Amino acid sequence: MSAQLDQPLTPELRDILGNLSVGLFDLDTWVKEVGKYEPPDKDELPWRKPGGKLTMADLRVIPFFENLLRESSGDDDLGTRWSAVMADPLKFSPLPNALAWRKNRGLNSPPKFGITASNNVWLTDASGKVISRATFYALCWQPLKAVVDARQKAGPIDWVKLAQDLLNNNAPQWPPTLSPTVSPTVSPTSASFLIQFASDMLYAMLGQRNPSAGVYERAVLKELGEFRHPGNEYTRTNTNEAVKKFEDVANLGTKRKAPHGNR
Amino acid sequence: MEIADFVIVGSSGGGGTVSWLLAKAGFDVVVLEQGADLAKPLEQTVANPLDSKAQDPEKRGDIDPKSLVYNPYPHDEYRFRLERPDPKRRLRGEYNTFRSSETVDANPFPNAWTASVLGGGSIIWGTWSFRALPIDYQLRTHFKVTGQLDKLEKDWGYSVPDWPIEFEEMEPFYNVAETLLAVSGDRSEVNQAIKDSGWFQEFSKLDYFLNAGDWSPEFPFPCDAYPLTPVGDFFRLGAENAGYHPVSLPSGMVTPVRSPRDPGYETRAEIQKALQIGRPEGSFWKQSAAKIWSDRVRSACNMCGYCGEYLCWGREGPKSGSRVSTLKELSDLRNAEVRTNAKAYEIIYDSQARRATGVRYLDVSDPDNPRSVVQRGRYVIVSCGAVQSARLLLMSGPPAGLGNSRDQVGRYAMFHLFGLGITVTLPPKFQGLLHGEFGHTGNTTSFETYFVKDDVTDSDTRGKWWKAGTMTSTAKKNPLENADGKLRGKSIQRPLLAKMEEYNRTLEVRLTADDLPRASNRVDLDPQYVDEYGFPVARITRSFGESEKLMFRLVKPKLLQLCQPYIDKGILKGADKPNADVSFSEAILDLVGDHQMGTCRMGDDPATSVVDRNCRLHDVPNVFVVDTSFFPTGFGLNPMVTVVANALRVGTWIVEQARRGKELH
Repeated sequence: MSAQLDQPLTPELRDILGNLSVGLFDLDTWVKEVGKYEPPDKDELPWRKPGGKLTMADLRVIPFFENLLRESSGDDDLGTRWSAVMADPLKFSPLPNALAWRKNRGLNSPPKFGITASNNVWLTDASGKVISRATFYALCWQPLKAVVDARQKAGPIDWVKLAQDLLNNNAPQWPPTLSPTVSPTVSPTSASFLIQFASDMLYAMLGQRNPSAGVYERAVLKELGEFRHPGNEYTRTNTNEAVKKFEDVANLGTKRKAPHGNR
Repeated sequence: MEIADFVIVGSSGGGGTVSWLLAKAGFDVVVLEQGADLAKPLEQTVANPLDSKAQDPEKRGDIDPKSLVYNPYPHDEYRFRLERPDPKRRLRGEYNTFRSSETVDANPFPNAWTASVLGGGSIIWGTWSFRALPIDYQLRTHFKVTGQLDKLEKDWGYSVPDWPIEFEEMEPFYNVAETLLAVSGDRSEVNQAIKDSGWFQEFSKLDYFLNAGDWSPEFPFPCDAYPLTPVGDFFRLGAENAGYHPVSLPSGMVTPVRSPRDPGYETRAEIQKALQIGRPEGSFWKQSAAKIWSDRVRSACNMCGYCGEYLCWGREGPKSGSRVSTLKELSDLRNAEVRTNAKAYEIIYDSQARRATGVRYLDVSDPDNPRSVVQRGRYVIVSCGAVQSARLLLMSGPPAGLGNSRDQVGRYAMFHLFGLGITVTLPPKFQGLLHGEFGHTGNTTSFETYFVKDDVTDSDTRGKWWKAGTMTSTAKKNPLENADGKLRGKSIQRPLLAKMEEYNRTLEVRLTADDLPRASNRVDLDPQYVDEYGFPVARITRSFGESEKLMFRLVKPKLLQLCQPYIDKGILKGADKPNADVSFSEAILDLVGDHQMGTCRMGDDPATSVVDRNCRLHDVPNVFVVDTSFFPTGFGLNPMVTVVANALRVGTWIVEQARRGKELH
């Protein structure tokens, strides 16, 4: 593994992204809101105990993010292939004479490859070229650091505001796009960056594949009232209890006419 | 296998079922599936990380053996809902184009897919398991009797045929299909709910109606009804209040156990029961159940909640589909072979003999370096889903396409009315109470809207009953997918968290409804766009006709009525109020999901249909089509049970013809 893939982020970038993730999701403030839903096992949750906090660091979102960068580094090869097909849509046809075959079937328009418009691709740069997660973010680090440096010079950074400004393409240090003549690919906008980064944070937070977070893996799910998680299973007893609770809270005062699988 | 008796393209409910029956009857069979076997990693199990002993090397010997069958691979919402290229819905480099009328160009679009995985749509389906109702086979007769046929056909441009086969002929195959799909439900409850529906009471006055078929099937569902969930209960309470007749949704799932001693699901024993009630005609079904099926036992659903569009984690396949039933049986047979990553692109046609001689496909195991392969066969059976089956036929044979001498292939496409329904968001006191995680998405259903009376408009449609479909409670199960969608709508920080909270209190009621067939709704080859390998992609042309537009107006009050007790109680703000908690949505025109039907219509007249009553091309005697393409009309319910039943029927016919020494003529 190359050094770049082994350590996709520098310590400085880890700090910036960690802070930005807090600006995106101020979880502890949310959890402590008056009247907020409380999970059934609230007394056992460390972040709800006196003095406890729920932080993005607890959720280990940045190590998870670094793993994502490592995993998807091969996607650039696919982007290269798609570029070749776009340039010559019949390039990989197994037919001996694809143009003649098309003509014989009345398909007379010049062929086009529409994979990007079909959305059966994940990430593209600003020009529509399919790229890997690693390449996408590599294009973002320099402008992100420029934005952060500029804000730091003006005083302590308000990461909530910074996230909003990036979302609204409102950070002057982030160029709308880099010229293709300067870079082989076109830099994403700050909004594209922020949405992709927040999306990856959601993936890290919502408990699907982040066992490194330990007891915190399901923290956000629990605070949302979501009980599905990898490895779970439930029984008829669980459904019966849940239906009863629902009916108690709804309190419609009607009796069920049919058993519906619960007799 | 140099020359197979049957080359079968596609492995879902149609191809996966008929391939088993033919191989079991002794024919040499090759199944070509363009997707990979995504469920294969499930066979490589690991310790459940939730088992604390698994974390401690010294205690690993104490792990409950049951926990060893857990595999985290399918419990990944990102992988199964967000990843692109989508490994289960579309092959890498595949897509379709869409246009809303024949007068405009089509463009690539994201909202269409064909399950591309071993087991096809039966892997990623929602498991809603209805058999058709007798009236579904006689819609033309029905509308003629009621005087609505001219309106539908002459004024509105539909073509509404009767099915060329009788419901009675299908019934014993429905019984067997339900055993293969391990359908859970309460038959008497379903029968009664249908009979109590307003449309049934009205139509019972018509002479033909009660004779259209068996309205009270006696065959019990092989599994008990799936447990009621809070989302299903929301629907049930509203439906009963509205005077509807809600029932537990029949589901293709081995129902959760009642006690740890429950033995699991024994398909063989259930087939035996089906044969006792009504043995299908044909020598194949004269065998004992022990000859027909192995002693495999399928395990019960553990309600893990990773169902719709996920691979079932389940121990020995609680979620039904060909991968865990017929294809599993097929793997025992030496005269059958299943090839995955086999993307068929041509049915090879001998124009002199007017026969197919095999299938040409790309082995895309290494998609960067595909290999062209020819599989010869005496017969070819197509089962790729209605969009891709039409595409394959149109790419094969004469320039106009195989079986397309009358320009019928691809026409009368039907996709059901996905997106039609209501969305309800309950207030914060219901946070954490809906439990969308329990089992699969659907739970409680009603036939009340199978036909809906027009008491809404002042037009000449008023007072008549128009075709709609079943309404079903639907849980919201994918918080990550929802949050990602809201994020892409530019919501972040606390507003995004608020939307994530709301999602947990949200449910839907979906109407699975008919879009009646029109010739102009069709699939053909896109004249411009090609896939990764240079083949023309499927072009879908679709618009809603007057029947669909009328239906949207008629079903809206019926669906909103479900919420009335909650509105009366002050729990919900109705759809007519500011900041409503309830919203109604019409169907989404360009949402083309798993319910694809009608592109190779079955009929007796070659001028107006593609396949005959045995699903064989009128033009080419040794090519069959057994997926949903053959549907003359689309029902108001999910097609899987009918596809499996029909594949059994067609397979039985083929076996019988061959046994008599006939060349399937």
